Amino acid sequence: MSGFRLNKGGRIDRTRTLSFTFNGTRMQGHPGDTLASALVANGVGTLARSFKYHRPRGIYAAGVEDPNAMLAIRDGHGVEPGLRAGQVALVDGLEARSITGWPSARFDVLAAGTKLVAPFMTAGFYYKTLKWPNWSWYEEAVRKAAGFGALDGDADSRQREYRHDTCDVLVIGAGPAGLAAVRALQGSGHRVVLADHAPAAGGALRWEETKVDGAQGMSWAADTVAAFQAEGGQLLLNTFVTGAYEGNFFTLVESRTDNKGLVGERIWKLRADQVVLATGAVDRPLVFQNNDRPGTFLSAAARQFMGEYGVAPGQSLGIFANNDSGYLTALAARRAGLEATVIDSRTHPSEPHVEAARAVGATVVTGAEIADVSGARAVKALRLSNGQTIACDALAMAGGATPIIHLAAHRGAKPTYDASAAAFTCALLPAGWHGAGAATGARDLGAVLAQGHAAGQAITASKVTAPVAEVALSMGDIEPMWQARQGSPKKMFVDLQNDVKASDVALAARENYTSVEHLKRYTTLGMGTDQGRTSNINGLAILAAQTGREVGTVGTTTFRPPYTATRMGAISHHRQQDGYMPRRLMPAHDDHAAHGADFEDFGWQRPDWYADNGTNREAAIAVEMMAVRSAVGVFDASPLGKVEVAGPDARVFINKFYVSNLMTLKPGRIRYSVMCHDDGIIFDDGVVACIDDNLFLAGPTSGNAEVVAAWFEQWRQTEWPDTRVAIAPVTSNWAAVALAGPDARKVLERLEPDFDVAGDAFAHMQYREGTIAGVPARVARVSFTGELQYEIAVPARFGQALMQAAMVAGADLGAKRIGMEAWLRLRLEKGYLHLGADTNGRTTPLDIGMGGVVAKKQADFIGKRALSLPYNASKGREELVGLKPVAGAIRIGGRILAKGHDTVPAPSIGNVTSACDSPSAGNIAMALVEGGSGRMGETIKIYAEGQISEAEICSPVFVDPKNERLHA
Amino acid sequence: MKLEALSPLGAQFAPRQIGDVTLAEMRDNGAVLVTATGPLSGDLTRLSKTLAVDLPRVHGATATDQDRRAIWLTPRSWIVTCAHGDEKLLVDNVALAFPDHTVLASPYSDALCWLSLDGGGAEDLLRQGSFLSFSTSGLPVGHAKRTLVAGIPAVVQRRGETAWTIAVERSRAHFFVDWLNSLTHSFGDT
Repeated sequence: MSGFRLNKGGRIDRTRTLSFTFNGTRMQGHPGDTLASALVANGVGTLARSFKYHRPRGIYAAGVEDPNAMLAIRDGHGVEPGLRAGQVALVDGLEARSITGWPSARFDVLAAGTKLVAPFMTAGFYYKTLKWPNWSWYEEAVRKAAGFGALDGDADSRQREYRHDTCDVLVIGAGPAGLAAVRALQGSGHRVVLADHAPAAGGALRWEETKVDGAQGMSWAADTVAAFQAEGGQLLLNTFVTGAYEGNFFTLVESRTDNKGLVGERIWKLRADQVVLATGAVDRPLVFQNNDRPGTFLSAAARQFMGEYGVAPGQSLGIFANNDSGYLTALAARRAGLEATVIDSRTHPSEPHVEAARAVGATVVTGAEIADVSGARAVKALRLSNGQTIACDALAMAGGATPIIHLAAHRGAKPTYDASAAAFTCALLPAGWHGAGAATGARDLGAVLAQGHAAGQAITASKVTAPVAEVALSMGDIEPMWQARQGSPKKMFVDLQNDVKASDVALAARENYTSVEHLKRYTTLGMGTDQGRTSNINGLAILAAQTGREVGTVGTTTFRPPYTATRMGAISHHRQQDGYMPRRLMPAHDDHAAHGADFEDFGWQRPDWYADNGTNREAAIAVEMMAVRSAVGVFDASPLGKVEVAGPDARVFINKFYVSNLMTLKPGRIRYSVMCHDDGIIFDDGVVACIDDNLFLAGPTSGNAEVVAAWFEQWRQTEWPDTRVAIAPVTSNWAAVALAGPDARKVLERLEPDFDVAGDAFAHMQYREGTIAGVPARVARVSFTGELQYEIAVPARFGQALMQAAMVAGADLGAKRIGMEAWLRLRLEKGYLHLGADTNGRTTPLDIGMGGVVAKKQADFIGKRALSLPYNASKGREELVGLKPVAGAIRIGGRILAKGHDTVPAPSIGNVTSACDSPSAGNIAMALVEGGSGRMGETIKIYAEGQISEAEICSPVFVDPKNERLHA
Repeated sequence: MKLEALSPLGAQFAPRQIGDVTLAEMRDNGAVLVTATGPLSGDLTRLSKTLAVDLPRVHGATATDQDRRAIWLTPRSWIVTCAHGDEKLLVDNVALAFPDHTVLASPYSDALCWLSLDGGGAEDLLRQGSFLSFSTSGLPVGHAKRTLVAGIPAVVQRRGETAWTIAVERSRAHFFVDWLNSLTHSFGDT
């Protein structure tokens, strides 16, 4: 390509030079350059290969609308696998690499091969090919060929900050429309935030030759910004507004840079009372044969490169236009000393524009289109429809302007076609929104400023007069030309990023994919990271022509956030690593750690087993289980839920939640039960202690502690608001230590309770309050293990000390710390339910043997009616049973085969829900089996891990079936 | 036998600086959670007397009387902070005044970890983790609100222009402190 740095002009700092590399080649630029402008200045032509056909591609636009220039970037703060060159601020030491083409973008081996198969790679070809024998055979190779960049192995090291804020007015876009709006808001007292993606305010004023209120455009912009900030206005530059949500809630991503590169991002969540949408427009390309050659630019981008960066796209610039803005590019080119030829598709363009162009020495050809562009790796010449050939080394396309209306569409504003602007706009904006400038289809600076001013005035009555523009020539009129009449549609590119051609759009129409949504998905038009900014409108217009419809009738696809590609790290907010699920620590965490706890996340960080008890997991678990069965185990039960339910109606209230009858539960007594949703499905189990007739302590599972408290509140507030009950979730206030085993009472006695703990004084399923070791305590004699067991709750500050005291008290008895795995295996030995393992989303109390309890309860409870329905009461439902091995070990998750089947595939009648190798009982399991209670003694086959084993259905109680240990 | 008490962050946790903000654990806070079964009406005065602090009736409001502070949570629940040794006294007094438990005072000194954040940058820190408006118009001095900060439930109280108290649920205290420490320290600028 032939881009080069102009001797003067631009807003770059020519006094300083920055060094960077591109594909290993050292190059130079200036502060103020983007990577894109610096590459063009260094004459870089081909920097990528297209997605499907591996065609050479170059810089196409100046910003995120560029469909070609995705490069891997390394700056002083990290690596990015794919960024658009136009969004990267040039810094010293930057390294940029092509991510497509092998071995390089300039010499791509795959291009030759792709040329051969290109005729077969039409739209949707992958729906019709690469299927046999399996798509996965081809997938990796196809993905590699497409080129998406490679992730750096290191974790993302960029900083992230988050801000939540509100404002009175959010002005989106700091171009002339947005600046006119904030100017109109001066003195209003409103809190205004002005956001723009560029590093400087001004929008197109940064590169267009204009005057506003008698001053150069950028001087006016600078003065307006200064006044804005002096009043306390908040200016956010390098900031994309990425999404608009309900309630005028917006997400913004602000890039924070220094002289080494991108330091990090500040992610804003901002709520605004009113919004000014001044987001501007994107120049639109034209569709003609070989319109994707390196050296082809959007017309406005060509002006931006010349005006803002002092970079010429080439020595001799061709400008293909269907509207007057192309002439502004010609004038800019001539000012920069370039040759310029305008090819105007219109037969009768604006005379002032033509005259102005010719007056400065530009050539103008009217009533002609480009039939072809020659030059495989760089534009060399244009063949016109009138037979002329024009030599040039760069080409600019002025096909109109596409308003940036995404954010309004996020909020449901419907884009409608404005034929005069040949563009879609959102005529009806959401409440509190005011459109201004090119985003509404306005083309001329005068109209843009007036609209911006009006937007400000709509928010506050302003004494400020509207700014006045002075421009030599307007953007002018447009005559749409959606597709050139000469040339092969197979070489006319509509979507450069996804290599979608005009012929693909025609194919979609022939195959009856005539909805614009189908067009998008069938051809992948607009599905690249450029989100169709430069392709959508041309594509749907071509579809309209193919199907005999008006452009407006075809409509647009749906705009969805984010407006532009956003780092996953930004979207995840603080929900990364530890912040993904904030870790919860038990009060005795340090003690557990000191004794070799292997922590697992059970919602809280809980010891799975202790290295103190064994050199490996299974050995330790066996030791822990035997300690509970033969001596005493000390288990940290702190996460178990504790919800106080109090008041004159507490008993009646809580009785509505559990399937067991709690009306007869006396003070000092405990009852185990389960809780259902109104469909009768179990969602929690636990014990309820009656402290006194008006005060109960519910013990939901640790995973449901907050859920159950909220469940209680929900029903109280919505269904029974007159119920005199108070609900106090107090789980975290209390640490709980369980003592389990034949010597549990001895340990409890040594902890100095101030109440009688003798067996007959403190029986199983009873509750006491008092003190333990001098501190307030709530003690429940309940068992999860089937052994004599006490659960001691003390204020959490004493939790660690209690844990340690219990171990000291039980040291001579062989006390061991018990981890979760041992605890869960112990309850399996006893046939106790583990919620979520032995229940699935269909298990009811009837399925787990509580039919008698349910039948006896006369009072209503949540789920009662559902349990009486035929489905829930039917025979043949999956019921919880025990399993003992007959041949082969029983493994968790095993599928139980239907009778008569001993190989897979086979129908299944249930699954193994819990299983373990118990030191006391051998290999044991529980399972949900259809009609399980009627199959006692039956031998069944189980498929697991590729093997078939046999087991006998039995009672799930494998240890102490007479409960003698429980009642010791 | 004497059981040693341990605060949520442990004895080793010393006040630390995050930029210009001093973070410290307030270890001596006692508290009770007061919940009522109904609107209370005339009983609110009696309850306030029992607790020796006026219970606020408006969202965000707090009330102080010597070492007692009452924080409004819902129309029928409050956190009342007190000297640590007074927790049992308050629980018992309420039980005595309301034997049918139309009002329940639950021990709550250990449920939360109380942190103080003092310094000009404290508001900026908090804005990084919560959508609650921390400007003085959103949360005036003397007010408190229950919200989410860093994704976890917290009670945020503004003691002064640059003085804050944050109470987070005890088990998440370490996570919260680690989150505060992980914040980049670009304060003041926007």
